[in-house]
Amino acid sequence: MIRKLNNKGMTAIEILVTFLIVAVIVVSLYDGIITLKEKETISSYKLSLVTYRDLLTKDIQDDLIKIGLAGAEVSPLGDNSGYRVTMTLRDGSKRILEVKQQFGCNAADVIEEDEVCTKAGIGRDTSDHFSISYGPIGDVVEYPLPDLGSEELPNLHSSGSHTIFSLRINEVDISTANQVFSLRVTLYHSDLGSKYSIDIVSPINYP
Amino acid sequence: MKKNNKGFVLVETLVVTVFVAAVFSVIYINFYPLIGEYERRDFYDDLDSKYGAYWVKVFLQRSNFSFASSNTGITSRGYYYWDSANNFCEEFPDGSSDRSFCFTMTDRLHVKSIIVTRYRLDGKETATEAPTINFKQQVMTNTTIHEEFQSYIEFLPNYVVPSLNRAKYRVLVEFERVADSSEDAKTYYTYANMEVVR
Repeated sequence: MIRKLNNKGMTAIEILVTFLIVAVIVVSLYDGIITLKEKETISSYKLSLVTYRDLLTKDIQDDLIKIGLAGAEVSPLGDNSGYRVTMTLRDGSKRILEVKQQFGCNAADVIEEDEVCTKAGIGRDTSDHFSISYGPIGDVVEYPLPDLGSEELPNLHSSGSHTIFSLRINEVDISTANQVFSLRVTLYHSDLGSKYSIDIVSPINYP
Repeated sequence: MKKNNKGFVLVETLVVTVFVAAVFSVIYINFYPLIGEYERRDFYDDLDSKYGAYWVKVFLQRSNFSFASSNTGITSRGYYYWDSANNFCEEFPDGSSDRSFCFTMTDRLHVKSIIVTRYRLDGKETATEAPTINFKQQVMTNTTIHEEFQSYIEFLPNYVVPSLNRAKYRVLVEFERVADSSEDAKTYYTYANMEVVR
């Protein structure tokens, strides 16, 4: 038996219409996919930041709630790079909490450097340095901030570069007024804002 | 037998494409609000709010905290509510150290409002008992309670498993926080709940 083969192809119009439909679909999906990719990145940043904040908060609150706070002394770190809180717990043991907040020079040229860095007392061509350390005296552990992106800026006065991190410790607010200790470390990220900051409140010598 | 070699005509293809696009649009429109709802739940029972609610619970469990009005509220309408107009810390005796600790703590913790209710949220005290008052429905009708607080309460389970600590009550706390960045200074609310043993 001889079968007749179907040798008919597609017409030029059919191919053109198909290409057109595919092109319209790809273009309309492109923006959506880019937005989803950004959302995925931001959500992974959020997860890292929340995990960091929760781990640190839990370590500090475990001591404050299970043992209780008897006193807290706040002092500046050397060269005003942050604060040290010496906490005395109700069992007589002590805990040290250090918050380092050294801003790097985030300036693209010498004019901006004068406006942004020199006026704020930030050294030329310096990198950001932020960290929080906590633990008993002699066993203080550093909790480095998670890496949520950074920018390498070329030095303006020497060779090499310095680093500006996307996640920064914007503000540190410590109080022991009215026998209540409170610590707020504002962690700021351009995509996440400052909603995921560290907030610790505990009464001092609460009977 | 003659084979059918006809394909789809252009109109058929277009009709199917439009139909599929319409179905996807309907799915997207219904799915998108769920993402917003999911993001809002980031601030339900987060760690900071849980520790904040812990201190409110500690105050509620103090022996000199007057629980009389709370009891009346729970019996008559299923819950008792404190906010800035009816301060929670005023339930402590005047001049007591608890009262002053309470004022400072609730201020630093950014407590906005507090609700105390039964341990179970379905109005029952035990699984076999008939429900008395529907707490969730009662809360929805109270317009002084913040809408977002109502959404949080609606989201909560009924806590039908008995408390290991034999708790009879539950405290629900609303915190008003400010994202203090100069570019994005806006208020947001977080929520947490804890069982109360009294």
